Order: sequence, then C-alpha cells, then structure tokens
Amino acid sequence: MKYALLIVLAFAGSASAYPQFQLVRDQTCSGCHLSPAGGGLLSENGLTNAESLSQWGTAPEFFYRKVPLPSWLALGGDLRGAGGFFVSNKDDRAPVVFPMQAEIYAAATFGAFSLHVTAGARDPQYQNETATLFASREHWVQWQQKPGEGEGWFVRVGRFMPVYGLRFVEHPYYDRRYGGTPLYGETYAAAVEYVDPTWEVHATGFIHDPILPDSVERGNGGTVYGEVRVAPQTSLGAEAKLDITPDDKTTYAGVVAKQAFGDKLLIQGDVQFVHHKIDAGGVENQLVSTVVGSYFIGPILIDLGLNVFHENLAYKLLDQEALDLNAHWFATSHLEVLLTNRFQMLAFGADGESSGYTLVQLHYRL
Amino acid sequence: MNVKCLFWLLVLAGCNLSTDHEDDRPATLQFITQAILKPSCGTATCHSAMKAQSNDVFDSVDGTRASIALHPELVTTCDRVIPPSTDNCAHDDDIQQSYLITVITQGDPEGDRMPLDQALSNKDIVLITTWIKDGAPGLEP
Repeated sequence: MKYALLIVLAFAGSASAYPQFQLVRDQTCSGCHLSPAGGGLLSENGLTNAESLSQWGTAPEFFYRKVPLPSWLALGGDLRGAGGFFVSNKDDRAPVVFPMQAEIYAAATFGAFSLHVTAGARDPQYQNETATLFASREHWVQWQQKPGEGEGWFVRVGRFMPVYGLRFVEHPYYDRRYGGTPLYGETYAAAVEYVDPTWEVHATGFIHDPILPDSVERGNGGTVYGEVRVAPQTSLGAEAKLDITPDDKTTYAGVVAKQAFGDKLLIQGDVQFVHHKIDAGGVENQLVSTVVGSYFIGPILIDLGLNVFHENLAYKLLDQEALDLNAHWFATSHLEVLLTNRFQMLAFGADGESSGYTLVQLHYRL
Repeated sequence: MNVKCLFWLLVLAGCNLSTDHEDDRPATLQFITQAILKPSCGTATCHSAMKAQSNDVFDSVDGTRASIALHPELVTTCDRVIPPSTDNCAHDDDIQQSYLITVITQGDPEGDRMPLDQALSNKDIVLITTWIKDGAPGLEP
C-alpha cells in the first residue's frame, strides 16, 4: 500500500494561483502575477503582498535578492512536498511521503513582448522514468498592451493552461478535476485576454499537444471565461469550454461567483453543467460544483471547501462529494506550511466506502 | 437575485438532482472507458497515457484496448481462461476471474483497492461487470 501510494501521488501537484487572494488583496490575478491567468512568477505587487502577509517577512525576491538579475529577467520557482496519512477505505490506510513539485520559472521581457518558461520535474512515465522526468510544462510568448502593468490587453501563444474555472492550486478540487482544468492539463494554445479591475475576459483556443502526444489534454477546443466585478468585493462570471477528442465531445458551461467580506473572508463558487457525448454511443449530463470559503487570520489562511460531482444526472447514486479543510501558514515570504484534509463520500455516504487524507505540505518559493 | 442567494444556489447544486430509473447505459468498452475509467482511473498521475502506471492506460479508448491486449486478465472470465480451468469456476462468481473486477471491489495482491483515492460507485461496478460478462465487447477497433 505504502509504495503504491508513493508512486501514484508522486509529483501530484503543480502550482496554479491562489484565488483566495482575489478581492481581499487585489482585484485581479494579474495584479500580483506576471501572467494574466495568475500563477507562477509574482509581480512587484505580488512580492509585496507575499512579504506583508507572512509571519516573519524576509526579502520576497528571488533568492532573497542575493542573486542580482537584469531588469528584463525575472526568475522564480516552487518546491513542494507532502507527507501524512491516506485512508483509501476503512480497511486500507497508510502513511505517505511524496514529492509534489520542483519547477523553475523564467520570464524575459523586451518592451511589450515577453517569453515565459516553466520547467522542471514532472511525474515520469512508468518504466520510462529517465526520458520523461524533466519537461517544460509551460512556455509561451506574450504581448501586452501596457508593459509592466497587470491590466489591458494580452495575447499569448504557446503551452499553458487555458483560463477556466476558479483555478485553485488544489487540483483535487472537483471544478479542476472534473471541470476542465485537470492536473497537467496544459497544452498548446493561443489566447486573447483583457484584464481590468472591473472586468476581465479570456478566450483561448487549444490543440492536443503535437510534441508530447501522451499529454493529459487529449482534445482540440476552446474556452471562454469572463468575470465582472459588479461591486468592489463582488465578482460574477460565466464560462464555457468545448473539448473534442477522437473518442468524445465534451461541452462545459458554468457560472462563477466571488464575494469578499472586508479583508478577511472570501467565498467563491463555481458550478458547471457538463454535456459529455461519447462517439460510439452514450450521453452523460453532469454537474460539477466547488464552493470554497477562505478566512485570513494574520499569516494563516483557512479554506473550507465543498465539492460535488454528479457523474450522470439521469441516475441516482452516481454522485460524489468531498469536504476539504486546509490551513495555510505563510511563515516567511518564501515558506508556506499547509495542513490539508479531505473527506470524500459516494452519494453522501449512501453508496460505497468513504475515503480521505490528512497531509502536511511544505512549499518553498524561490 | 442577491449574492447570498447565488451562493446558496452553488451549495444546493450539490443536492440530489438526479432521477432514478433502470441503468440503461451502454455496457461497451467505449462508454465504460470514457464515462468511468477515464475520470476515475485515467487521471494524470495514475493510468493516463502520460503516467501509464503498470503499463495500463485508461484515458482513451485506444489506451484501454492496448492495456487489455497487454493484460488480458483484466477482463478474463471462466469461459475464457486459457488453458481451461475449473479451479475457481465451480461457483457462481466466475466474474472474479477478471483482475479488473478484483481490483475495483477487493484490491490487488497488496490490498490496494482501485481507484486508490475513492471507490467506484456500485452502479459503475455493476456496469463494468455486465460488460465483462457480455464478453467485453469493443476490444477490436
């Protein structure tokens, strides 16, 4: 059991953004990140937030500003690992320790154009570990209307995750796992995006990776995601995605809502309706829902999440639910300690055995 | 609609909205792969083409076919055991000859029931069982 889990969960994490900060720290993801989608390298404002939020501060820049960088170059990275206790069913429980992420980020900016690269270790292919351990998960060329600012028009071409859903770093959340942005779901894409404190829209077309045919995203398609800040602490959004693989066609449509209460509490949710048509016969209509409440207590962030997935709305007892309780402690501007807990059920416990985990995760941002 | 109502709607979306009638989903390799195996077993770090844990791939129809070709015991039943055997076929549970059924109901030799993170629903297990009992149609493209 132990060894199987070590294999299965190894590298089971890749950084996305921390949408818990939107509306309580800044209006947009690009207010703190160089990417209009959020995640990865932090902007000057993001670095300031990382320092001010953390317990003991420390210089938030790359290697504590000890490594001088030219003004056109930004470097960073994320290292993550976790250990804890995993309960697969009532008779099967085991301690686990596993690596999650070891990636370097780089962005080179020349006027309105920039090149962004994320590279490092990935979960290697079984019995092909040496050849597949290292990869570049993301690399894209970006043009932005207002260089150095986190708003305006953006155009991106390259390999990245299309903007869709809440985009939590916690990839087990159902709106990621079942809702169109699964772990390692990056692929080649082109996006036109507009970000403003009052509204944003992201339109992305993507294709199945022609270079790495074993990549997780198997289809061609597109996404549209839009969000309007109807009040300074209220945001409403809508989204759609079409994904066509050689085996099936999946259409997603959803709504997103985010409401902050002061600078301590944010509640956000994503509900998606998914129409899944299998070419050889069979149709599924599904519902995916993730609602997360986030509360800041000084350098500690508490997340309480409820996830629901209806595999096929035509039948009872095909739904599953997960309750997540996570506590992030931002010890320094680079070090985060995360206690993450999940309890997962089938049909609210009426069908099959429940499962869950308790893990302590260490996250070091370079 | 105010924001509070919207959030309650988001939460209520998790309530049981489904109807209940006889399971008439297609018991075919294509449907079972796309509806059950891909989302539950074919995740990135398990049986995706990217990871191919134990050389089993369940995130595409071609992947499932190739995995069964490599590991025919996944869908073996008593009447298809080669050479013919009656050792485990003297009782009614001949479906237990299928390694796939064994791992999703009881576990592998190390006791790991699959999928590791969450059991399949009973309805999905019954549909997979029906497919295998029917001779696992769809193995040929």
